[in-house]
This record gives sequence, structure tokens and C-alpha cells, in this order.
Amino acid sequence: LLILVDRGCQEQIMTIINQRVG
Amino acid sequence: MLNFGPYYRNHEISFQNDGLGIHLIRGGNGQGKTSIQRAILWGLYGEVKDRRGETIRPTSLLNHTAFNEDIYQFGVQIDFIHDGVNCRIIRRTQAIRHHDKKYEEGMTLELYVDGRIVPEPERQIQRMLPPDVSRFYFFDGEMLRDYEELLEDDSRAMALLKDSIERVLGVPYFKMARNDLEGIKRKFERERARIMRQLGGSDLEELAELQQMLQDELDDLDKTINELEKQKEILDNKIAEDKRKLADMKEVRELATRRLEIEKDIEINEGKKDKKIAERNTMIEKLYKNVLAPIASTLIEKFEIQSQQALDMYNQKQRALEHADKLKKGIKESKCSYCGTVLDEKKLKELEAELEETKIRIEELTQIPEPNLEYEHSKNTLTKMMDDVLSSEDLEEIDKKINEYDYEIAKLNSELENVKSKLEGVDADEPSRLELQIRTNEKESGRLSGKIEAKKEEKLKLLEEKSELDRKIDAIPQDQLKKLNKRIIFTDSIMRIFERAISTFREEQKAAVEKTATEIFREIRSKEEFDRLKINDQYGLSIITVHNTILDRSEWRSSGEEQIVALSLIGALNKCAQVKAPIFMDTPFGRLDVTHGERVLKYLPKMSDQIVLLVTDREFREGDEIHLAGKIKTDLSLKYTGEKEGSIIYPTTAGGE
Repeated sequence: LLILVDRGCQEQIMTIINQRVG
Repeated sequence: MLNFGPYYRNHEISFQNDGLGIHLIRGGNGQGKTSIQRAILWGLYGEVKDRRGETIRPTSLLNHTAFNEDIYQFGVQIDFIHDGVNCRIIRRTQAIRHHDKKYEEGMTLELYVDGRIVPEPERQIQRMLPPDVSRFYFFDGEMLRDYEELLEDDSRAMALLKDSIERVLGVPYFKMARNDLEGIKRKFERERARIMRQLGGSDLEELAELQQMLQDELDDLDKTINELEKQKEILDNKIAEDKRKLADMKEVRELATRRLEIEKDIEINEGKKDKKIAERNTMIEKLYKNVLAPIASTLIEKFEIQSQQALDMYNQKQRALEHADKLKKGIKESKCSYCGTVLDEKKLKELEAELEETKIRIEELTQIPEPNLEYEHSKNTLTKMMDDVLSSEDLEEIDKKINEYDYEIAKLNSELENVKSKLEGVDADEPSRLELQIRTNEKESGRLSGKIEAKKEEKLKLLEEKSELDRKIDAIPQDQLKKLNKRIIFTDSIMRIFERAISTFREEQKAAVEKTATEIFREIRSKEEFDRLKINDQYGLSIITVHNTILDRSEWRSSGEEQIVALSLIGALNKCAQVKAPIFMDTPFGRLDVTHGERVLKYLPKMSDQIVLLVTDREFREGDEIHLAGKIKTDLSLKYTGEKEGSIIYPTTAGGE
């Protein structure tokens, strides 16, 4: 999982976290 | 290039061997070397900066002949390989009038990757090679010389350079990830507060409001801490800068001490010289004796002969007188005074005759003056004078000594003038003023540290309060809320890992750069006793000697090592960089002596896969090709043929013609 990226990238990271948790 | 700078109409440069290796572009001053580098940078970023960092106006980039022919159009096409894929940039500008604004409005850019046109080409190019790191790939000899000055220029320039270096090394990727995760965490928290309000219930609403309030307070605290840390960083940079200035003033103090030493040496030498001059004057006073010496020598000889003659006569007379006395006695006693024989008449007559002869002889001898002390005295006086006669060697020896002192004094005076000129305009009070300023700033920095610590403690308390509240909220059996809480905790965990990676990676990269810079430095250094390089937090450099002495810049800059050190750092940055790009060096060896230049040339092939050298014939001389041992893949020359045709590019023939 460790994502390693002037941002609004944040959407894509958020999607990954959402998939991992929940 | 089309109508770019001195290049009228179309000119093409092709780097052989797929661009790998060393590529030479030769040309004297004003033949168009720098324009080639500028054309590439303009192609990449749509603007070019001069050596002072000022943007060059588009109207200055158009070729003169094109301008005279009312053709207001110039452009650049670059073919290159990025991540193993063929790419092409085409940037053009066309204006209806020769006006900066019109050129900016008329600019077009196309980027092809693997034959396909790519949207948002400006952003794509910035991703390939960020503009602020391009300074380490496209640079000139002046930048090598000014590298350390850039660090001392002012805090802003220093911070910019530090950021550029960290960017080359890849540190900002971790920072960006950390900031992105922080933003995501905030979004999750806002979402959680919104859902809680929707769930209704006064208790729940109250908790949600309290949670939001705590979060707002935490946000404010974060902002304050960030601002304080920024203030502290600026102040710490200023302190570091002042300390470096103070170290430079150590040199001024050394100069002042040297001045006193020189003045004392001059005084000592003047004293010695005066003593020798007095000695010489005394000798010159006796010089007349040298003129009289031949006459005196003859006189002494004459006096000696006369004295000897007088003495001989005197002795003869004494012997004659004695003989006469003996004869008189013999005649009187009729007996020989010598043997006692009794004398007869005949013998007596013979004796009387002999006595008469002796008397005549005595008379003759008496006419010659008897020996006296006059001869001796005159001879002694003249001999003493002869002892005082100077030998020419003595005088020459003294003159030689006086000349030596004169030379030494002149040398010291010249050094004194040099030292005085360096000391001119130096403010004697500045060191103490700087020390005071450093102390004041350190005090302020300490105060800010205390304030930051206090704010962090405050934040810690709030966080504890908030986590207590979070636990309460977490206890509410709502699926969606639970999910959000998990996401917040999970995001926080990831964020902490990236946070720790920032400083770890920075330190490791710095150590890697230091190690690589030292390896390069050892290949091109001028003195074996210079052992390795050390990089400080501001990316300034010190040399460490084999005796483990740290030499600050003020101690080695005079040895012409400055460019070597900067080149070592830039070489190391390129090796450790997260960005792969060719290196273009414009007149990089201008200030290096022959030995340094050769060492750098021998090292170059190891520096990067593709290096383009824009050189003058003064810095890349005939025969220098041997140092690049067959690595030269392209060898071109430039010639400015006049205002109408501008510069032309042609293959270099044997002998660098």
C-alpha cells in the first residue's frame, strides 16, 4: 500500500484507502 | 532551431550514438554556444533566464536577419528519449508585430510520446524535468564558480537552492505524500462530523460539535506551529549565514595580523640595511688609501733598502774602528794584538801604513749617515696604512647585502600594499556587531523553540482530549461511523510512516551525496592531502584533510579548488538524482588550470550517460581529445559568419579546425 505521488492524487489515494478499510 | 538567436532559418544538431557519450560543440566567444543551451531550455519551458536569473525577453531571442526581413517567427524542435520511449517537443511562436506580448500570445507547444500527441504538454514536461532542478543539468562555468556564493547570497536564495537540491534527491515526494494523507484525513474527519449531525440526538450533536471544535483548535494550533517553525527556520538560516560571514572575517583578522608582521619585518630589514650603509661609508672614507697604496708600497721597499745599506755601512765602520784600535795598541806595544807576536821595524811600518788606510776608510764611512729610527718610523706608518687598504671583495660583499635588503624590503612593501588593499573598506566593528547579532538571534531562536514546544504540548493535550472524545463517538454503534473511524486511524498510521521517512531519507541521501561527491573529488582534486568532502545542512561544503582538519571555504578558496568542489557536488547530485537527464556544460573549464582541466576531462565520461560540452578552443585545446579516450561521439564547430547569415554549425575536422 505504501501511494508513493502542485494534488487534488488525493482522490486516488483516498480510493485505495477506502478499498482497504471497509 | 528556427530563427533562434544567431541561427538564421533552420539549423539541426544531431547527437550521434543515440545521444550516449560525450558530445563536443566548439566555438569562440560570441559564436553561438550559449544560444544552443538556451534553445533547449526555451523548448522545454517556454522561457530562458540569463546568468542573473532574469528572464530574457522573447524579442531578444529572434534572429536579427529574420527581424530585418519582417519574419517574426522562431521555434525549437527537440527529439529525445524519456523512460525508454521516443519523445518530441515542438515549440513555436509567431507574432504579427515584434512585441514581447505578441510572441507570448502566439506561442504553441506540442509534445509527442511514442508518436502520439499528449494533452497538457507543459505539465508533462515539468514532470519529466522540473524547471527548478534543470540548473543542475544545464549549467555554465560561472555557476560552478558562484555555487558557494549562491549559498551565502541571502536566506531566500539559499532556501531556493536547498529546495532545488532536495528536489533533485527526491525528498519532496515523501513530503507531498505526507501532505496528501493529511488532507485525506481531514476529509474523513469532516465527513464523520457531518454524518453524526445527520444521525440526530442532542447528545450526538453536542459530541459532534465538540469534536469539530477540537479539530478546529487543532488546525489552528498546527497553523501556528508551522508559522513558528518557518520563522525559526528563517532565523536559523540567518544565524548560519552570519556565522559563515564571521568565519570569513577570521581571514580579515589574519590579514590585519599579517600587516603588523610585515611592517615589523620591514623595520628590521631597514635597520639592517642602515647598519650596512654606515659600514660602507666608513669603508669609503678609507678609500684614498687604496689610491696611495702603490706609492706607499714602493716607498716602503725603498726605505727598507736604505735602512739596510745604512746598517751595513755602520757595521763596517764599527769593525774598522775596532781594527784601528787593535793596530794602534800593537804599534804602541810592538806586539800583535791578535796573536801576541813581537813585531820588528819592518812589520811596525806595515802596521802604521795599514792604520793610515783604516783611518781613511773610517773617514769614508763616516760621510754616510748612521742608521736612525726615521726610516723605521716612516716604514711602519706606511705599512699600517697598507693594512687599511680595502679589498674590492669587501665592498662588493657589502653592496650585495644592501641589495638583498632592498629586494626584501621591496617584496615586503608589495605584500603590504596587497594586504592593505584587501583591508580597505573593511569595517573593523563588523565582527563584534555580527557576534552581537548572532547572540541576539540565537536568543530569539531559543525563545521560538520554547514557544513551539509549548504549542506542541498544548496540541498533545488537545489530541488526548480528542482521542477520548473519539473513543466515546466510536462507541456509538453506527456502521458508517465505525468505517470512517477506522479509515482515519489507518490514514494516520500511514501518515506517520511517511513523516518519519522524510528525515530518514533526507539524511541517507545527504550521506550518499557526500560519499559520491568525495569519490569524484578524489579523482579531480589538486592536493592529495585534501581527503574528503563534508556537506552541511545548508548543502555548503567543507574539505577534510588527511589529518582530519576541517577546512572552511575561506581556507581553501584561494587554492582554486572552488570549481572542483562545486563540480564534485553537482556530479554527485546527478548520480544520486531521481531525475535522469543529459548534462549540458557551457564553458565549464574557463577558470581551471591545465592540470585541473585534464583531470576533470578524464572524469567526465563517468559523470552521466550523455554529456554535451560547449567549449572554447582556449579551454579545450588540440590534443585534449586523448583524455576522453574515444568517448567523443559528436564533434561540431560553430562559426559566426556575420550579421546576415548569423552562426553556422559544421563537423569539426582533424586538429579541431
